[in-house]
Amino acid sequence: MDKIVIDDLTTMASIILKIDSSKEIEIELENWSSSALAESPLNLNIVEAYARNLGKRILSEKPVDPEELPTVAVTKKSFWRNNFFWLPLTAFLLVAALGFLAALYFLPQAKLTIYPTKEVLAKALTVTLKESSDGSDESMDFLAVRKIVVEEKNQKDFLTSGEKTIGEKARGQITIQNWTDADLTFSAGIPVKTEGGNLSSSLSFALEKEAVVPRQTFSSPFPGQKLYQAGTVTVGVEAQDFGQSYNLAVGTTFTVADKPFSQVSAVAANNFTGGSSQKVRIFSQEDKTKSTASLSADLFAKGMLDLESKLLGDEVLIEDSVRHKITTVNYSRDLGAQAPSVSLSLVTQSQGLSYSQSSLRKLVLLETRDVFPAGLTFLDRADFLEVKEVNLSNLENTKADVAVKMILISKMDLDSLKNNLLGKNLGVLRQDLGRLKGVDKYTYEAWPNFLAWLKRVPFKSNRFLVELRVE
Amino acid sequence: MFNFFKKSKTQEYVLFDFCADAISTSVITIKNDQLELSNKFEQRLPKAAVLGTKILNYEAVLEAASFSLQNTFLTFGKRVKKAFFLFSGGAMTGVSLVVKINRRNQSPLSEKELSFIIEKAQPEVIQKGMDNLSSLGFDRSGLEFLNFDILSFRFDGKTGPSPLATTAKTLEAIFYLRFIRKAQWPVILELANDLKLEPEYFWEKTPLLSLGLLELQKNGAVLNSGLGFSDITALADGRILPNLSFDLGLADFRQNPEVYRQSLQLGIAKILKAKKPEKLYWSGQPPLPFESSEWEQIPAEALKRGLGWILLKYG
Repeated sequence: MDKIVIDDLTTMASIILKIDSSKEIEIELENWSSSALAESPLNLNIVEAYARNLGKRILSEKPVDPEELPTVAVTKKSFWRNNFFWLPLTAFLLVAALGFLAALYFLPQAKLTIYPTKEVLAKALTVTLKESSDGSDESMDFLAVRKIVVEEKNQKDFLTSGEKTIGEKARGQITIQNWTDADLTFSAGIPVKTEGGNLSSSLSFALEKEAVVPRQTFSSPFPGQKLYQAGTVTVGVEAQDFGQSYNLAVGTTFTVADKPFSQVSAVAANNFTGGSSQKVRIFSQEDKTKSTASLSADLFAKGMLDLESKLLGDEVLIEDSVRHKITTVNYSRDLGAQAPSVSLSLVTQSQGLSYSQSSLRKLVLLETRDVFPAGLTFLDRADFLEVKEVNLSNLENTKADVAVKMILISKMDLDSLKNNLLGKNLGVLRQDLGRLKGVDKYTYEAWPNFLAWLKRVPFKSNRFLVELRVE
Repeated sequence: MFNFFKKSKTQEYVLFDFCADAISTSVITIKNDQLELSNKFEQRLPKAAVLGTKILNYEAVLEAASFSLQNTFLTFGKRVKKAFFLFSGGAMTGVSLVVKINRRNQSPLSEKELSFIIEKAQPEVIQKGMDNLSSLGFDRSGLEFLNFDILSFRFDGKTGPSPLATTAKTLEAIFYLRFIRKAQWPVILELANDLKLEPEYFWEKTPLLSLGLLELQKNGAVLNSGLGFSDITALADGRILPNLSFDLGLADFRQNPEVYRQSLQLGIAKILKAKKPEKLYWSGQPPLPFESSEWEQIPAEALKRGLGWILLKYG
């Protein structure tokens, strides 16, 4: 038979190991019934079942019924009955003296307020981001982020700023004069330009159709004298540009093509008419660029606001993660079309990642709990942990750099301090607090003032309040 | 003894959650019939400070508890004296009993009459509870009766929160009695005294979680596992069956999951008398090392519901 001695440090796991290693069939558990393990009946059942599975048997002493404590009746003798006459005076004096002492003991009260020094711990962490549909974060190994996508639409009219000149071209008839000895043919479209006159620059026209001008001829009205006569033909011309300035008067002279004026000239056969011009506004490339930029900027700003409006609970948007894009763009007019204004329809999509502030806070506390300097502790208060910034640290959006500022205070055991100070002289209080590390300042208020000469901390714990205040 | 009227003023308790490997403290605030838990702070205990239900290093436990309390009070902004003590690891055990009463009185049931009936039934109820625990193998001389709560009433066959003002002829009440180990009781009181707390409620965590689960499930087994202990109980038709602990926990069964699984089956079979549980719930540090698809983790709000049941319904 094997024996396992149970003591205060014996665990169920160790008993099971010993049963495992025992080579005996019968195993006795010594001191079982007096051990803490016996307090739960299931422990013995488990040990027995385990041994049974191995073909072994457990022997343990049965629980011992505790002896019933005898009831003792105590009869008190009456002292006061035999001292009846002294009772009133003794009682009065005793009560008065006790009352005075009790007042000194019980009445004073004081409050010690300790302001601990604060130390700022700045930490930069890199956390893993994982996308989650509801933003919950149970494992705390990563920061759950939620992808938010919003779509914005708007239509807006813009005034166009491009300019274009339109109008009618002047038309008229010219008579071409050929002073050469050869017939000349000028095809349709040949340029004809004004010559001389008051015009500061020449105006260009083009022949409307082909003109064949016969050579010059001469006659001899007198012997030895030749009188030359130019060959002529009258043909229509059209101005090469719009404008009233092309409405020329009859008699205006022209050069024809590249021929010298002395050889070939032309003259307006009638007053030119029909020339007119005006400037109109058109939808230009610049208008297109500016209007798209303006409306998309509005929609991106609206998208940003909408992303923020989709945040749930204590979620915060990672600004670094926000991306905008134009998905559809439509203009009411084609580029270059004449129009005083154009209507632009734009659809944009904005998306970003959000995280829960409380989840980030938990993650930060988990990551930083082992890095506090010795003797300092973090007080889990909302304003003692400030997340300065969260920036994505890789292009895949799986990591983020988090900068935090934590305020730490010194660890203090206020209950021990309080118990040590009860009933002590105020000098001791000042000395103890002077020795206590991490105290910035403290205040001590006592009541009543007339007992200030006692210069003692109250004796009663419930009359002395010690509190830690962090500003 | 019972106050069936709802309280309107703000009440504050400190929730002191004590298990073998950590102590956590938080503040319970009750205002306008709403219960809130806040300012939770947890302090881990040094290794071997507590073994099973036994405190081996009282100083370490006191230091951890003071530190946790201090942080809770600092963040809450003030000190709270009234305390709700919650234990894990088998320091307490409980038992449910159905008490049937026939009324001779035909007038509406008053609070006074109900108190009288309950007071009259109390000795017999405690005796019966002790008998039930003895039949499970508990050493009754090691247990001390702590308190009881009434889980529900049935009057003339109808279930309701309160039978007051009814003219019911028959009344049934499901009592849930709580017993604490005598060896633990002085230590707990000493700890409360050293922490300057006024203890008003003492509960084992597993039955409290079971109370919170009652709205979800009327039948099933409930496991609360720590590093060095496991506590199991079961729900049967809306009653909480006695909770049984064994001194094997996460730290042990990670090495030997099969022993742990068999221990768990043995405990559940003992509580449910070989009946198979409909549903399996557990709380503790995940993950379970054995096949855990049939085990569902107890929702976080079960604790709050359990506390609400005690503090709002019969507080």
